Amino acid sequence: MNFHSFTTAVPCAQLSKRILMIFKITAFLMTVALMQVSAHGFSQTIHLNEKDAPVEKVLEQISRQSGFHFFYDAASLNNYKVTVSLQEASIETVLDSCFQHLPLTYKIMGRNIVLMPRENIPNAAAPVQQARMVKGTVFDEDFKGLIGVTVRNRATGKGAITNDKGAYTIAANRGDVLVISFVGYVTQEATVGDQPAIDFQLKATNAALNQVVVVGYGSTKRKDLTGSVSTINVKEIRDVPFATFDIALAGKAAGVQVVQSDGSPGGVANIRVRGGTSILGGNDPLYIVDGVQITPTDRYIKTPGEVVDPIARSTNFSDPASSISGAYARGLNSLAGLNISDIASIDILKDASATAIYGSKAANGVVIITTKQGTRDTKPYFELNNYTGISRPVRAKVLNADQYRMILKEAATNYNQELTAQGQPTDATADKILNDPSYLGTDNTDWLSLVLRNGLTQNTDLSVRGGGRGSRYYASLSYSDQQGVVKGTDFKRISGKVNLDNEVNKRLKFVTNINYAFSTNNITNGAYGQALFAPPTRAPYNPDGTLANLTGSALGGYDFNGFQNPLTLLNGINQGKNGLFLGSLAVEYKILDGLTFRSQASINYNQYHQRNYTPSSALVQSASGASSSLGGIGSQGQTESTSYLYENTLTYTKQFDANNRLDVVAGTSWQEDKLNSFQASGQTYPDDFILNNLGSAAVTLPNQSSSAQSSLLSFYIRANYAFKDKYLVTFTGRSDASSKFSSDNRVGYFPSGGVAWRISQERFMKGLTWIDDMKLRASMGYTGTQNIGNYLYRTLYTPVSYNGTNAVIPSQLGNNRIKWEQTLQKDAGIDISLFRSKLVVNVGVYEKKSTGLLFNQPLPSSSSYSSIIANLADIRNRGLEIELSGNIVSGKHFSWRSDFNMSFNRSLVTGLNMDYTDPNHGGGVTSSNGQSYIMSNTVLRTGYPVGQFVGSRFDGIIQNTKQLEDYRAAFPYYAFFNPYVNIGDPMFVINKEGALQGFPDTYALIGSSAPKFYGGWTNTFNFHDFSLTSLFTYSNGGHILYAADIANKSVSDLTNKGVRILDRWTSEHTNTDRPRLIYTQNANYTASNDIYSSSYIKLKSVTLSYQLPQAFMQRIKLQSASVYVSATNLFTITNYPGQDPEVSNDPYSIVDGYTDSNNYPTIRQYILGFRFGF
Amino acid sequence: MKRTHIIIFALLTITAQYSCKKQLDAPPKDALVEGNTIINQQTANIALNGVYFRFANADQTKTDWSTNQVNPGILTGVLDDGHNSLSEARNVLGKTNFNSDWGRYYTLVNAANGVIDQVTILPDNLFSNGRKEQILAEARCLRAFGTFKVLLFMGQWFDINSAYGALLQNKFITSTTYARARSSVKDSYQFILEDLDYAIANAAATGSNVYITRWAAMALKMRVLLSRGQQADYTGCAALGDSIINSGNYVLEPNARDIFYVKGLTSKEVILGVTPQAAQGNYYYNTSGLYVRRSSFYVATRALDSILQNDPRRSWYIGQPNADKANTFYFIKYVQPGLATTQLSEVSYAIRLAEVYLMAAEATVRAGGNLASARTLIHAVQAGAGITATDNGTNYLAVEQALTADALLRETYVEYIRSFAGEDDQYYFALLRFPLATVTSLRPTITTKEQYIYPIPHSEFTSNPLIGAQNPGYTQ
Repeated sequence: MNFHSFTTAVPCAQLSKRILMIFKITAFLMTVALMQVSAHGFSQTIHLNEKDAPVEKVLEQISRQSGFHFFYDAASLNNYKVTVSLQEASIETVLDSCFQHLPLTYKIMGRNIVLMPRENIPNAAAPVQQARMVKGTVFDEDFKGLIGVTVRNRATGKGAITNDKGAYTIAANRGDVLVISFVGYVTQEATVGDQPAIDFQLKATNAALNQVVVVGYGSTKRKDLTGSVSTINVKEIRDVPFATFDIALAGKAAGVQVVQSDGSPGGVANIRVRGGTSILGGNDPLYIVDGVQITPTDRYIKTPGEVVDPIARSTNFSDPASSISGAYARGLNSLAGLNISDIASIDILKDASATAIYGSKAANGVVIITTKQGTRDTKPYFELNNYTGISRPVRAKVLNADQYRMILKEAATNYNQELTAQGQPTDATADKILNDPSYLGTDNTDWLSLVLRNGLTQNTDLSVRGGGRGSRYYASLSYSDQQGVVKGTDFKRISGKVNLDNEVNKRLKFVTNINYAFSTNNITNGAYGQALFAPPTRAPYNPDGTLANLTGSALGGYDFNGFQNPLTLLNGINQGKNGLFLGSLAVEYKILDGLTFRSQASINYNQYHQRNYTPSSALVQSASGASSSLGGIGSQGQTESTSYLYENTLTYTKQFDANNRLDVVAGTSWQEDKLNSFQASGQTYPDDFILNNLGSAAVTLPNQSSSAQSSLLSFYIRANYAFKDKYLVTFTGRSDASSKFSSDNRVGYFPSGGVAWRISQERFMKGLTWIDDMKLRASMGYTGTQNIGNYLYRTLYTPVSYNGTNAVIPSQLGNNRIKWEQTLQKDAGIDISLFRSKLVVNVGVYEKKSTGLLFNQPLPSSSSYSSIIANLADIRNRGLEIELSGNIVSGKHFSWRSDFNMSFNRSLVTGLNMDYTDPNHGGGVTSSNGQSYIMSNTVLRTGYPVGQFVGSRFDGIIQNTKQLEDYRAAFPYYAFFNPYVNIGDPMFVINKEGALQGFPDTYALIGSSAPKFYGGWTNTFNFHDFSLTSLFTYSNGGHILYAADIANKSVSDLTNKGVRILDRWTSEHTNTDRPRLIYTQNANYTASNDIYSSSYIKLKSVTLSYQLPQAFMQRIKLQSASVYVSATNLFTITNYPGQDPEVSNDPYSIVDGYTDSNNYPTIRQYILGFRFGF
Repeated sequence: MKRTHIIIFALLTITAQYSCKKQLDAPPKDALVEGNTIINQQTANIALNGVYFRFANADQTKTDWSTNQVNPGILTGVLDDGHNSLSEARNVLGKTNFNSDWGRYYTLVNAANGVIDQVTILPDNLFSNGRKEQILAEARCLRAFGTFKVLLFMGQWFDINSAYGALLQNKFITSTTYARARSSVKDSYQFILEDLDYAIANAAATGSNVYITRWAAMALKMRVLLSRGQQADYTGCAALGDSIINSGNYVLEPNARDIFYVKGLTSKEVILGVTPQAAQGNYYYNTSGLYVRRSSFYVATRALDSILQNDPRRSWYIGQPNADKANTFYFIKYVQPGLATTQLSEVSYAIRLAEVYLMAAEATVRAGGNLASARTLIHAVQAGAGITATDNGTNYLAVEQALTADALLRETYVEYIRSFAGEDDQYYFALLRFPLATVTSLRPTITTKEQYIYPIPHSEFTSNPLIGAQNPGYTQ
């Protein structure tokens, strides 16, 4: 044998022949000695890009990069030439690739590789060698057998899976290559030789660093990111009974604030990524599901049968006509179509460097969802998941019949006493309350039990995945049914997806993705809120079986207040049906190695149908407050929305050499959104239950219709450059041309740049082996908001009629100077991975300056328009985010992983020309100079954070005569507004100057809603086959308006109250902020003492699962099986006196949404489920 | 790729770009924009109807002439709020809300300007039979109506040399042109009269009294001329009156009550009226609901009751006493208390022939003309109320006995009130056309000319930097 060898250290030409010979002999001996040692793959990866290069030169490259030594007979190389192009490939892959067309084979022995002529290699003509069964075991680093590892024979495409001991058996020929891959471990290969068994020891990947992160139009490894991206571990949420994935984001990512609106099944969450950035536009992040974009929208079509919400009425300022509209806004979730089981990954892009490729849509962050795909060369794998459980309401506590009588009698007594003291006759109603035992009623009705129930939850999903040589598929079907805890409410969904991935040839590939869902929501119309007020002493039904009349006028108040018999509302219909189709077809063509063209056409099609029926005995909202529905009001509405997106991208990836790597994505997209909506309504129906279809109505009410369209043409580019794998630079640019702006301002440019320095790769850090990775990153860039009105720049004429003929009137003054809302975001962070990813720390700070926010500029009335939309306002968000995750214990039988995050966000409204309230919640724009009044509970005001509560300042309870006299002196108009003010009554801060001098200041800022910090803590414990995952979420320093409690401070009619009224002031109980009771005469304002801390710690979810033993599974022919129990909202630690401080009355707004409207109780869920794979 | 593929791809890209551009400029699907609102005669008519919609102060549910009906009555002292005591009833207007009419009339003016601007530039051949000029005439007449209302209530209309005129909007508003200065009184009159002269020359001579005719424009011009009050204006006004009375096809209603309780807009006396929207009579918050004690409630005063002594109209103007407020009565010109409001009770009357008679009479007197012919004109109006030399003759006799010009002007004024109480503002301005001393004697709470008009709304000064000075006597 004439061995020739070279190493990286000493070029062969410089060695004398003698020394060379010694080396050769030594090497040969070593080779022999090492023959029996099975080869473990080295983790070094090799980049090669050679064309028609001599084999020797290629071997030299490999040797230099990997440190392997080659031993071969120089003559046998025979001046062969090879062409090879590989990135980050293992040594085996490289060698296989090099020698695939050469009569050469190799053997790896330790760090040496011996090349040999390929004598025994079978060729196509030769008879197929008898396959033999290769056995072996796959171990982890601690030599513990790994279960469920796929071992695949590359030659045959067949695969096997390791058993509970880590052992496998697979048919293979000599020379076949076995590929061992397992999530979280470095993939290994081995060539089958004559060895009786091939064992593998898999090395764990540095999970955190090598985690693949999906970013816009591509994916990257976490270590290469320059931006801020949070990734949700889908495994942690899949066994929790969250009907929709948006709720499941709660507490999982720093900088992502998730507030579940209420307990309505399938309901909406208020999601803000690093604070809100738009006033008139949307503030939800952009969701991208397999490349299809979804923008959450409130689809409710206003119905003429709207019902008054008595709680909103009692706050003085909230829009009272909101029982149905608010319930829809919170209950009907436009993201509900997606089944969590189909989701493979959720990545949340937060900073400009990551989001700017989505330009004008990215100011609120981007949530990228990738759904599951099939796997190549595997048999069909079925997975069945089923869970069943119940939801229980967290009930408000209201007075029972005895407490109710006692409270009303006390209020009546106090009132009559005041009247007598002032020499007036006693009040007739108060007399009846006191003297007529039957006046208040003699029943004992538990109204809450009549409207609430324990709801059944069922979910089944079945999926199948697999694939052949060039194709793979995934298909699923799921059915969910979640009954709401308020009677008549539920959420049902049939959804599924189909993914087909076809490689036509090595260059051409087709990918088809279809997600579809049909969901039905039955929404509440406020029966729960009504049940809080219904007197417990009244029976629900009259003796003749009809529903008792419990309207405001029947309860000593006015119909205006909106009270009615809760059971009346249970007979209503409020249904939203949604058909969702997300489909995409993509073609990928590999033009050159490293250069790929991709073209994708996608559609987001939504068909929404709404049916409302307010029954004949109900009161409906009317101009005078609330009036009879005159035989019932029914309506049906339909909205069809379509969004087409056509995208073309070119991706270029090039590893120039070991030190220089470039990734470029450039693309263009065209998006068209269309929406058509109509509603027809009728009034006066013969029957509430059967003949309540539109055709049965005696009176036709006016129709509504609308349609809208918008389009967006975009060009974008992103370039990532890495030098020496430690200096990373990203540049992103996007231009968007939108139909929402006039041609002068149509195009917006959104550039961003990010840099990162993997300081741990520097030589001076190499010694610190406990640091795996340390990366400093910074980025800056512009993003925008596109979720705004469609034709703001155009002057519009809208249709009306006069004298029985058509007419059009100018209705909107267009502002052709409006331009994009822009957010300049600056971001800096540090990502550290320690002790082989046992501890990962990510800390980031950011500033988001949103400028030119569209806002109303008041116009002089001589212009004939009240306002024009202009780029006027600014909002700034600053924040700090901390994420810690660690494998605290990773033993053989027990492991504990913990993920903790905490976020601080400070918002500041800058440059608003007036206080602003949400026009959807009351009167809209009002001024603050004392001349007008606010029609909302919250405002935006310059110089303050977003979400300021407005109301009166509570100044304590009048405890003595001096205080009483002082208060009367300060409030000279008390004789008109509060004639019986006396000890035990509340004091409010009185205006000392201005137009409203001498009146209580109802325009004070009385609290700020935003929390100081919030976050989540996930713990996962594994013990043998058991796994326990818990999620705590918390929030600190925020405030919430407890709207339902305002009514618990006074007795103004015969409605029932919450138990907190028992804490009222009496001469024996003076240490309280609840005033004494005086029938109909309490001064009642939304005041600072109705604002409560919303700080909490909550056990949001906990899941215990058990993996069935392998032996048992084999017996029943299953590949995997687990059973689990899960619960949500088990407990909350909070000082908030309501049922749940995590609540939002309007999830879409940044202005409003901080009120506990008590329209739907929070729920606790308990489920039992199982998951099989076969 | 093959060359043909590249060419096809390039062509597709170019086509796509072109269609993108077109889509980006696509107009809305459920509203019209300036470019496609008025493109031919039919769409011009629809847009013109939108101007009438503004004239009627309408929404989809109702038309609303309540402020026209009520406010002048309160300022003159013949009507009042049925519950509250209003500073306007004492002619104290510093904090009035009545000046919100400022904004209302500019919506009318701007809608008219939209039609005028867009119809003007359309080719004549798109219109038949002079309809283009008619449309322009109607729009300009309505613009004049709106501008004149603003001049009357928020400008010193009584002083031709005053700088405190109306703010003149002669073009459709854009986002860059809305800020404007107010003009002088002289320019305001000129602007209004130019519009009216165009309307008189071009408007149709016949047609529905819901829409502007030549005669309506002439009657409106009479009001304007009386207000400007120059000597030549009075003769011009009287001549216009003659022309309408003799050549127009309008006839005084033999029994004036029939207009309000039987005929409405079908009465041949109505030159211009406001027709209610469908089912407006049933709507709770409609205009005539103001008189039957709903959430807002307006009543007749003792002063009106006195003026109507010996007048048969008292029986259908003055109803039962209002229990909420002493010396006030249900005002039953449109609807009886306790009776449902109807489509008929919802009709509003902008110009009736009776007013032309009275204006002609007043102009004749002020021009120094024949008092006897002026008396004849007044008697013609009285006849409709059932007042003749033989029947209910007291007030007939009063006119006969008014031997001086001043005395006859007073009788004319009283007849304005008796005829038009609760309709529009004719009688209030007839009052203010007297010298201040007379005004004070007739309406003691008015002691200065500053009280004649309202302040311009505060918001105008905050949002329109060019507006100029507030009316004397008021703060911005």
